[in-house]
Amino acid sequence: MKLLTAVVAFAAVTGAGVWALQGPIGQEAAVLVSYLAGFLSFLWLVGGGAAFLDWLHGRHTDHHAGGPAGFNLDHKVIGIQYIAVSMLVLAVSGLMALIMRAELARPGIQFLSHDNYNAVMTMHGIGMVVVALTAIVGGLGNYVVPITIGAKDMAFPRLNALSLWILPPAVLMLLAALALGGMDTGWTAYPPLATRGGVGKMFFLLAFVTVGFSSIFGGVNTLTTILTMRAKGMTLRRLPIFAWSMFSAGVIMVMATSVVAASLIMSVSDRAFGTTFFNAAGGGTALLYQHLFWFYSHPAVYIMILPAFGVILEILPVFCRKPLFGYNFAAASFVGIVALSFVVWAHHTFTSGMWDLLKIPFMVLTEMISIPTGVVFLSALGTMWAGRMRLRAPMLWALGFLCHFLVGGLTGIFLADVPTDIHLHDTLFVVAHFHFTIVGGTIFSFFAGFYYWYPKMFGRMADETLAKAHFWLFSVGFNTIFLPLFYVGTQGGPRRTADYPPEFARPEMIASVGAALAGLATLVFFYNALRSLWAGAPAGPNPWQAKTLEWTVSSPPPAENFASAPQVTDAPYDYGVVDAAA
Amino acid sequence: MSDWKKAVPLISLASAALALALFNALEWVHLMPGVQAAKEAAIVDSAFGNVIFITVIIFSVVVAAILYMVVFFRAGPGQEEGARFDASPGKMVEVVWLAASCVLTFGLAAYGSEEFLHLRHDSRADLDVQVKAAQWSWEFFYPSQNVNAAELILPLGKRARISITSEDVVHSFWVPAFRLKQDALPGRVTTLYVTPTVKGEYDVVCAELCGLDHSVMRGKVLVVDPEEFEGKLKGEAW
Ligand SMILES: [Cu+2]
Ligand SMILES: [Cu+2]
Repeated sequence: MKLLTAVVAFAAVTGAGVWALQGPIGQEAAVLVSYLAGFLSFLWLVGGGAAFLDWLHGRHTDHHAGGPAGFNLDHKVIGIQYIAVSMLVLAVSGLMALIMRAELARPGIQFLSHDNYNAVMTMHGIGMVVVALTAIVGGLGNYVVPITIGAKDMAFPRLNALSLWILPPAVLMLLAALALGGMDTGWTAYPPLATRGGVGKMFFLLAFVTVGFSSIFGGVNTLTTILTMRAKGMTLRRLPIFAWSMFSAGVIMVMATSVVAASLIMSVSDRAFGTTFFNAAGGGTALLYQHLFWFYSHPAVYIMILPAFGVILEILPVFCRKPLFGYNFAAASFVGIVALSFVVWAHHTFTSGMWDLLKIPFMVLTEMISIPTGVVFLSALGTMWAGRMRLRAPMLWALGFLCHFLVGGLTGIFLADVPTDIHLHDTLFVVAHFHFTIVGGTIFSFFAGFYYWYPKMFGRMADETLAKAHFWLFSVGFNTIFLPLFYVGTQGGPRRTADYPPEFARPEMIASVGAALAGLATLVFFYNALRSLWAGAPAGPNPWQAKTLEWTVSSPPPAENFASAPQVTDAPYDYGVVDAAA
Repeated sequence: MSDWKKAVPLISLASAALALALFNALEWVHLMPGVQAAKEAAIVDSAFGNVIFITVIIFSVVVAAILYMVVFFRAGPGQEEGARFDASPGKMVEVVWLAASCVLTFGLAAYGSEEFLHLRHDSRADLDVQVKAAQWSWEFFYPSQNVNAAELILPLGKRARISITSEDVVHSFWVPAFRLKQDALPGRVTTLYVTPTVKGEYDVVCAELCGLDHSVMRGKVLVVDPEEFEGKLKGEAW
């Protein structure tokens, strides 16, 4: 109820503000001011107000005062809320993908105008970026990290709730932008295109900045929690690998996100106040935005993928009944990826006109990322080697991750290599590559982790048959979409087009059929996830016979996770080891 | 150790079969456009071929290994617990793996750098063309002839320097038959060198999303005999 009031208030305040202020201060500035007002009213009404007043007066806030759909401070509730938000956004953005693929099923224009196509494509892109940034990091991360390290909650519960609750206004802004028009730039929003479009673009930029802040807050919280809240005896060498991956992602979230926020705010300022950061006519340069943007957005893909690695390496030992192979190397390679991720961004600008000789170090550094990534793969393969594999749903999704992310990684070499990138940059090859890394990586891993921790979160098992059907349908659909797009890309098909020459009719049609399959698979997922809440078999505390701390407590865990502070005495993955403690 | 005796030959066999199948499939779909219309296209295609070669082999080995493990390392009934393993992380394996991936990575990077330097090594040219991109069309200007043209006309075998700029937003000048692409930026001039090697008519495609009609922002390149060049250019002028 509170949530509904807050949403209505947000719409009313923002709408009325724009209407009243656009005369006196101009439309763009009016949007900025009204959004800030609407945003604050939303936060206040959804329960942030009460929590803020408590903080101001030094009062204790009841962690569960917000209820399941309000400003709740329990990390477990917030984790599930994150998953809910992110799956809602997945549904909306997935629908956008289906609309795109329907339009692209045949050459020529079917039912969308070029303008509508661009808007739908932009919405799909930014929506799925939000999903990839929140599903594992916000959802599984929030739920699992505190329990798995033996803590009662995150280090900053109010900040945690805040980073979740600033997302809904951003999502509402994106939906409004879709209706208003001007979302014609793709999620990358390169100026000058982004400083020209209609007022919807302003909504888009503000929403994007908001998501950025959510990510920064989440990063600070994760880092502090992992550094300071670990149980007694949980040394860094005993930290579950998923926590290691979340820690690494947290470093990027804190260090890189501020840069994209800055570049977006510069764009907002170009629009609202007539500055010329990115306007050549005013002495600015459009290329500056691209560098600032990718300085964040390349590391951002590691915010999406490092926790995905973590989930997979967490699952493999449990389902192969073996210790995690090369734990130290895997943890070290996460840190190596973090370091490298900051010095490769210019592989996105090889064709932009940057200095030729600078392309070579960026190519070498980019390709070097395959070294730590290879170590992660070795850990995965080494864990499976000579194990006793149980091919349950989480394991199946983990295997899917390995195969698809492998394709994503290998096709990335074509885009890191300057000569081939000159041909392939900005084509559907890039689109296919990126989907293999983020869907094949992050989304497959999210589903693996979702089915793995589902019994912990809800106390019931997700239906195994449906989870496997989901896997097979989705894998077949996904490959049917993107394998043909690699081909179209090399043949001369640019990305982000509403139409294409007739010679691509066949591969594009195949891709559209694949999209229908993937859509169907997603329906199976939603059906299973919701129905198993009450129809699933009761799970008990440890249905997978796993050894990390979250499996030592009931499912779902009690409010403060542990009855007494746990004490850790050995490594988390001693499955079948000769002298492991029982 | 007995695991290895069976695994090595089986995985090798499976990965060889998989790699062969993939090479044949890729040959059959023919990834790059059929016409290789410039010297630069040959360089890009050979780089592409190298990367395909390495990636297909890596893919095949990893997938074959995963398939092997799925088939042979499954838990039988009642077998799920009780396996006994040495907890040592196998440092030797890690070191060999690391060394191999370093060799592959730096080898690839060295190859790529060399090919790239081939593409852009010198700034001499037989001919200058200026390209102006604007929402949503291309315009070509020949400074030494002082001629404007709606199509890009290039003489066969002559190295052309193409200077590119934009009137409004970012576009990207791409000729798939040449395998070359260069962004067009407002307030800046970027350059591209191309030596056409096959006569014919090719597409110019805008590769960077530039607004409403991005999908249909296309142009034409004509590669003609050097003798015909001046005449053709006069005919196209406007
Ligand atoms: Cu990147
Ligand atoms: Cu264009």
